Amino acid sequence: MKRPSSVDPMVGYALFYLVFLYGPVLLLPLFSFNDSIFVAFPLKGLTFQWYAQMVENDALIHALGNSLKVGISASIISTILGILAAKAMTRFRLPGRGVVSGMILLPLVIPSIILGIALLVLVLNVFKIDPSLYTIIAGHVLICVPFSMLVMMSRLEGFDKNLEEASADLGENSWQTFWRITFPLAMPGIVASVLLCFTTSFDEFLLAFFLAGNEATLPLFIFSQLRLPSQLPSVLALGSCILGVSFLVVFLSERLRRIGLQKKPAASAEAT
Amino acid sequence: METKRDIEKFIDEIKYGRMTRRKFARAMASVGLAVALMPTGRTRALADDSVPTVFTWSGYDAAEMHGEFDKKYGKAPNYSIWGDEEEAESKMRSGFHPDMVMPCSYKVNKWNDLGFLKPIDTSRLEHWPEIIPALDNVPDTVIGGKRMWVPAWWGLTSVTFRTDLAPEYVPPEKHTWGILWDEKYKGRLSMIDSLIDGVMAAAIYSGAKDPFNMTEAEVAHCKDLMVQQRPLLRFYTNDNTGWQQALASGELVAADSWNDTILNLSKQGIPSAFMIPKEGPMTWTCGVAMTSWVKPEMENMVYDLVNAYLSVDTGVYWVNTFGMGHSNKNVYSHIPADELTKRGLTPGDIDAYIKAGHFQATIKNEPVLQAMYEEVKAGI
Amino acid sequence: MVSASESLPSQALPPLPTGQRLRAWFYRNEAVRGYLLLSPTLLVMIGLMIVPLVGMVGLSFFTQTYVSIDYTFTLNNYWTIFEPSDKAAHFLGIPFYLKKPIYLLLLFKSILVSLAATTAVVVLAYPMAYFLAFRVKRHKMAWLILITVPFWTSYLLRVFAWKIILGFNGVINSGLVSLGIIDKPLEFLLYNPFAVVITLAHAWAAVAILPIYVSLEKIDRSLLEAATDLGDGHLERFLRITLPLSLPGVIAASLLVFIPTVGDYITPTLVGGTDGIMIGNVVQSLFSKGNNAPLAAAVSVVSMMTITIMVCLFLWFVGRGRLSRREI
Repeated sequence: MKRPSSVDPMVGYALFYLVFLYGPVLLLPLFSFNDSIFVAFPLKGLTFQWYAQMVENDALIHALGNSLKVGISASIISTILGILAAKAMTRFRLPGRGVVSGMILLPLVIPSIILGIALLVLVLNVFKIDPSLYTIIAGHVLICVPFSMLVMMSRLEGFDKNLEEASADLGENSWQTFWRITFPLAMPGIVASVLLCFTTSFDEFLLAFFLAGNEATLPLFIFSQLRLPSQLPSVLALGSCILGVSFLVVFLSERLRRIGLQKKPAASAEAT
Repeated sequence: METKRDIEKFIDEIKYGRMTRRKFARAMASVGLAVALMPTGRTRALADDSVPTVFTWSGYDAAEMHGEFDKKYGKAPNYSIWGDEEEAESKMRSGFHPDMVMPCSYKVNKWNDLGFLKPIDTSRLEHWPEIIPALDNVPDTVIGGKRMWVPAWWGLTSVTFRTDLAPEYVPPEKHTWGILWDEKYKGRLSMIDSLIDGVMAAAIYSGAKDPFNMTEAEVAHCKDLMVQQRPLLRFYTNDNTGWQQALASGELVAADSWNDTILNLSKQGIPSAFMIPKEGPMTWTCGVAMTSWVKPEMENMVYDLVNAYLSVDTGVYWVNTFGMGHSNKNVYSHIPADELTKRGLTPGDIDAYIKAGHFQATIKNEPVLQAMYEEVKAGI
Repeated sequence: MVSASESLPSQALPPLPTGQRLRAWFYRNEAVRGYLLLSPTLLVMIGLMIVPLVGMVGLSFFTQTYVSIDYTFTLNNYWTIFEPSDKAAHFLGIPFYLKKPIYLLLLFKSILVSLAATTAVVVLAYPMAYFLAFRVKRHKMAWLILITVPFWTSYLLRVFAWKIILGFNGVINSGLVSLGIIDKPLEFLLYNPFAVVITLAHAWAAVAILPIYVSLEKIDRSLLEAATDLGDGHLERFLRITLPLSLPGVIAASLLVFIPTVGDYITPTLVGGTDGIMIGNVVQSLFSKGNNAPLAAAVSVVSMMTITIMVCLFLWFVGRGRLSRREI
């Protein structure tokens, strides 16, 4: 592959696409500084009061913490389950494979609302447990596993079995083989899967709505606040903060990665 | 992430593979870091089993709403928030069991039939004598001689409109629900997306004798009106924020809405008014009820909490913040007359004002109307 | 290790001590090992999925009474959905001869809207995934996260942002008015199926990009070089190698977007206006407002069956195409 020249149309498209992705989202910070509870042009004036209102709001901070707990737990559990399933599907010839994969993908063809109510009935009446963050995690694992499995399967499909066999022939046990061969090869898929699951869970409203007890996640909190016109700007402030922190995470993870690469002189030539 | 696919070179790659794994661990660690960066200073205590759990509308969990309770016990109750009462109903049917709920009056009958409610002994409520007389015997809330619910707040459903965009409707004698059927404002009108506030508004406009208990012919007439209205509407919404924002921007000229809408509009200096239509507005009241799931040792606390919601302090905060009326008659002497007018409330005789509208009652043929409404909305 | 195609019948093996025989059988028997690997996922899914689902299908054969459910078996809910009539309701000129056309008609409409949204999402996402896979050499991780960052802010707020863009006093209208191109705000931007499609295309972008990116990333670069050596131009190379090899990702992306959007009701509610109502709205309303859980369950079962049949047909069609080309 050639180095992309400066007039590469692909780069142009990528920029356009980022504008499409970020344009709407960047409006949130804009209006979070606007001195009016109504979100409409023309802008009124600069204010920081919505941020003050937000920081004062314990319930909001609490909901945010809950969402992070749920998102991280659900994405890690789902990805592990997804890898196991995808590996089994792609590596072995399973009798009844269609039935099994159909079953795992089933949550995708069920309206969330049904899933939510069905699960709630199950949780309360069959297992006799109170709704809590754990039930939300369970619900989110249910919808994330199919995503994770699909992503992992498209990564693992067409994997060369010879590698794993070679590793086994070299006397490695399956655990070592997994860590030294399968895992590195599956890496992009794993990252994609964790990101996808976290994104899904962090933003999931309906299942959380049905499976929440006294503990609200962020989407539930936002939903409840959207009904109060006077609260809308501080919700926008919150959305802006989430964006800001996400950027920070990207930046930090890149820094950390580079620190990790410093030992390799070749890679430390940083393009800025 | 630059995993090479080159099979031949793979053996050399195992080192890189380890590298990649370390990188991955770091990326994951940085997510953990982000969590650590989140402000964790003051988080609310986790749900506490020693206080009642209240299932209610958002915003009604504010500390100012239950000050008396907090003073007495030194802690706040637990709150769980519902979007609307139908959602709450299905959640409680499925087994969610709070100690206290805050439904509107037209829901009490059904919730009692579903076995959700427990009678309230008003002699245990210090603030009961201060309740506005008009709210004393709201239809369908005293069942079989037992009071299942106490009123806490009230308001009106009617039309809020932009006086600058529809000046011909400004004189009070011109006030009518009919503005929501006015061809001139096609695409600039909205209805509340609910049976009680939307379909019943159409029923009042259609001239039904008792909007909450219509005959088949009246239902058919009401449906015709709604079918006629659909192309004129910008949207159906049950979201207070939605219609307020749209009125503020001028996207809507008139909206089926609650009386608190003009509070926010007037704060922003937007010329608008709340109608008292000639067909009559709708009056509604919502309140507090104890559930049948209350544990005996919790009962006293729930009574204290009900009482706290009826107090003057709560009422003043309520009227100021939400722009709706409160059921305690002593609240109004604490609020300047012009502040009341701003909220579409009358500074005069609150009692007479409440009685002037169609009092929302239990809808008798709910499933039929719901099916009809769905078809109207779907444009069939 | 021996793959299934060459595994020998066990009698042909030289006699071994039992323990070793068992191990050998275990290693040879793919099904057992595969299912062992699958078992954690499978158990979780059965516990969380099949039990509630059976409950829901069961529910669709009962009847809702005022405050409880009548548990006598009946097909009435399905009859309500499919009952024919001689009067037709029309949608896009297609007649629906049904007594209660609302359910099937809205299901049909939801599928159309979802298909449009899915097409928009995938067509927009593919070049971006291509860019990530072939043009980005460093900081791939950062790019991937950059793509997903907008999706870490609430879905409700993102839909709200589209309202700000397309709205009456929104970005587009304010811009056009201040430039003097129009003198009155355009009303047709928001509250119609087009607004639903564009909002969905934005909302599901990350879900589409990731699988496509992963499948592109997997393509053996030496194949591309070979194609170039054989004199293929860029376009030819793309059509003959890149596109067919990335199909699994495209298919995954399409399904991941199409299936959930059919049942989505929040987006149509927020930006669809009076014409935005979809099947999800009806199910939700039957469940909560209409208080007819059994009928809601029946509508859900019918929707699920329809979607499943569509997806199976699609996969079968794609699979046949692939087999005949012997590509994968």
